[in-house]
Amino acid sequence: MRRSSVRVRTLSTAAVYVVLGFVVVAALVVSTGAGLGDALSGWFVGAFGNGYNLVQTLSNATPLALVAVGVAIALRANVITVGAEGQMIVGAIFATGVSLWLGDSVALPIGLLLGALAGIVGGALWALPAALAKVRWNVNEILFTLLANYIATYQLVFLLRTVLRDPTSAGSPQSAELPGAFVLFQLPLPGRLHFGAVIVVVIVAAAVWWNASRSAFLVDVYGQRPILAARLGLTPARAVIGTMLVSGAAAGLAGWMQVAGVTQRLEPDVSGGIGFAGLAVAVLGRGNPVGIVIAAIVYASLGTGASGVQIATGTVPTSIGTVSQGVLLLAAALALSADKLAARSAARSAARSGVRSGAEQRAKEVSA
Amino acid sequence: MPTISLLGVSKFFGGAQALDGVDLVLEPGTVHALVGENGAGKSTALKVLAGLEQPSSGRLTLDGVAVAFSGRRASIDHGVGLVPQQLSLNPEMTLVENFVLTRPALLAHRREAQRILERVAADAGLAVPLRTPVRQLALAQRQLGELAIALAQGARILLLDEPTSALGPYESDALFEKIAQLAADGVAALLITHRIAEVRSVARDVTVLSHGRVTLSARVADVTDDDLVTAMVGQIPAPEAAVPFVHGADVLVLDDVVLPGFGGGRIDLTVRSGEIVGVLGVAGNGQGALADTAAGVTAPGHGRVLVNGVEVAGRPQRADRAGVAYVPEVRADFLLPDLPLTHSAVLRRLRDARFTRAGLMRWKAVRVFTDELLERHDVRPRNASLAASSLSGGNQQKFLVGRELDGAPAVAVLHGPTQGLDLYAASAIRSEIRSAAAQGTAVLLVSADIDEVRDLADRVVVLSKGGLADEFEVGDFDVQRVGRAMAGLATGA
Repeated sequence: MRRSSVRVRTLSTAAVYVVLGFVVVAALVVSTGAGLGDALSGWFVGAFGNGYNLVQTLSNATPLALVAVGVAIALRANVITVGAEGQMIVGAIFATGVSLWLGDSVALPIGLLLGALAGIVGGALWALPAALAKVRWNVNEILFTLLANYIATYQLVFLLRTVLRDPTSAGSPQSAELPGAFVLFQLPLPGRLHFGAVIVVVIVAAAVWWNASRSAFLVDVYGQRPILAARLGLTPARAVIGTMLVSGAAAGLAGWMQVAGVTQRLEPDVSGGIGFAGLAVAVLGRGNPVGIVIAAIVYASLGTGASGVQIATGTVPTSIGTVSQGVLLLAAALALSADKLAARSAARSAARSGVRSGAEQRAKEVSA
Repeated sequence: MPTISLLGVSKFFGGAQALDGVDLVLEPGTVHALVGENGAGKSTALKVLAGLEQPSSGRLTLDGVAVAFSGRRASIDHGVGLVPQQLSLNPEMTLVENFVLTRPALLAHRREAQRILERVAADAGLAVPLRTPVRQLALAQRQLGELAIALAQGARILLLDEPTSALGPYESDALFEKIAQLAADGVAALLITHRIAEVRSVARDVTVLSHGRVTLSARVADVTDDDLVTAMVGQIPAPEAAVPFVHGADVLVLDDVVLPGFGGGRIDLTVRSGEIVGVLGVAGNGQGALADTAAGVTAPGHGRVLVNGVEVAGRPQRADRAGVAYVPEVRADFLLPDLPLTHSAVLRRLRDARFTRAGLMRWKAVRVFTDELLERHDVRPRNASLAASSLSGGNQQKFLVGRELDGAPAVAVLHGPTQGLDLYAASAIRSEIRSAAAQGTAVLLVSADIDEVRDLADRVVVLSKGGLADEFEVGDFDVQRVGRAMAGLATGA
């Protein structure tokens, strides 16, 4: 008898994998001869123990949460985009391009606004081809967005060695520093946390509001039964293109933030895996904006807390942070595929689902 | 000599009691019918017999000896064959491959497996293509395939869970012929069904369950239909006296329509306000395509579909706005399986200001509305936060029909609206269909159940190879004529 409530079921799959992941990491820690308690307290101190560490964790969590909020919207529509990495890069390229092109000709708020807009446009544009290909030819969006990431990455290196190259820098591929009007100011805190964090809080609040909206409901309906969404006016084209554009825009905005708030110039590793991690954070946060913020902070804390672990145990190297993040990514992927599997078996037991498969079934009946 | 029996079996799920001291004795060479309402405990009894559930108390005996099946594998080894309601075959594989799946020892011996299955099928006279992927088989053939696999597993006890719920009358008769023949060869068969005619046509013994208890157990020849019905449900509400209704304007018009996937005939069909038009036909002659097309879900190959003059062909949103309610053949298609019932309930009410305001969902009001819907249509369990997929098939059906007929839509396209329902629930849904029509809804009723169509419809059309083979007022209903039209023979009219 399958009579569990929906929320409990989806929460528990993720929880199981996270616990399994924790066991793996704990085994690694113990295998070096370190105590688990020492490692945990070291991680806590490293990530949250003082103002500086806490701010560093929040700073790393900021772009993660932003990317994840966007990805989560696509996930609701059953669109799995792994293109945030490339969309961040293109957003960053657009933002940098606009900033350097306009230079000191604009005032501060205008510069930030234009930079952010350029990031949004860049990210959304980079998501568009995958969305169109999926709608028009049913091209798998996972493959398309994944491969588009490579194009973005190498395009970035190409641009940094050519048109965007910093004329004053000798060897390393990087752009010139952004003009002052395009640089996000830092919040008055110990450590470095730029104003973008506040923007992300506002966006998360907007996402909480949107979650309760009619259009969020329609996207949920589309994710389960496209034909029922079509009945309510949300066609497959609008659902796929709309959600992918929003997730691309969020990633592009995150790309802008990294340039304008963190590095203040465009560098080859501007995305730094945040795009992929953002997908994991979206899955671990179960699509809930508040859950995403928590997941982003936890994910970021694994990186920032790693040096604390090394100091506290003496035997565990800081690379434990990267390992833990990798394990968490894997756990998220497993949770996601478990959901997909459950959905698919439900669909199979219903014999057919959605518009397309219904028509296919009928065609088969005819030909049989 | 009893083959398999339940003796005083009770079964609890959590706090709920599904079976209460049930006695059931299957004898070799007989067909035993197990009947009862949805939720009466039929499926639970069957699961206990099949080793899928363990009894909470009481005994299961095989050839007079107490046994405990640890699971399905153990019951297969003891000769218990199961043909489940939701067919369990893998659609991408052939019947032979499906058989091998249940017999891992045969994995390396496909030819051997094929020989066994061929021999069993031939002995039992089951003519099914064994080497065609299951998805290409008609439902009736899949059913026979399940039967063949059960026999090839060495079954001498057959448990059949509503095997005819998706079959037309001719296919059902053919299946019963096979079952009767197998019984004559010594097999003990348990047939779960809602239909009293089926009990009469094939079973020697009958056991009636109600709320988990046996309320009647007898030879079929010794009981009347009324006895059976009373044992099942106590009392069925009498159908309201037919109110003569003057049919109104043409509401649903199919104009020169060619069904998608069918090259054949052009369909001209009009359903007037307050009229119920029944569609009969052998399964696979375009019922699904006709229903999808009339409901605006799929575009026809040619022609127009008009609702009060508005073209809705292949335009689901327009059809929805024009007031088209649709219950498709596969009810799960129109429910949101993994979301709470509130989400599925509100789907047709999103334009209602009670449920959305300023672009935001008002979930509290939706919840109240859903609770009412569950209450009104007797959907169990009455819990609006359950996922739709966790409801039983019958309850999903009640929920979906209730949602779609709510508020007297302009058009209702209903494909098998009472499939899988017990007498009581089916009767309640038929009253709802009648009352919707009385309020002016134009109803297109596609059904495999001839009696249902005859009972409800004002006019009947017969579908054959995607075209209309015959059309007549229900006053002219003649089973012979319908049968000829369904079989694709000339009507002679």
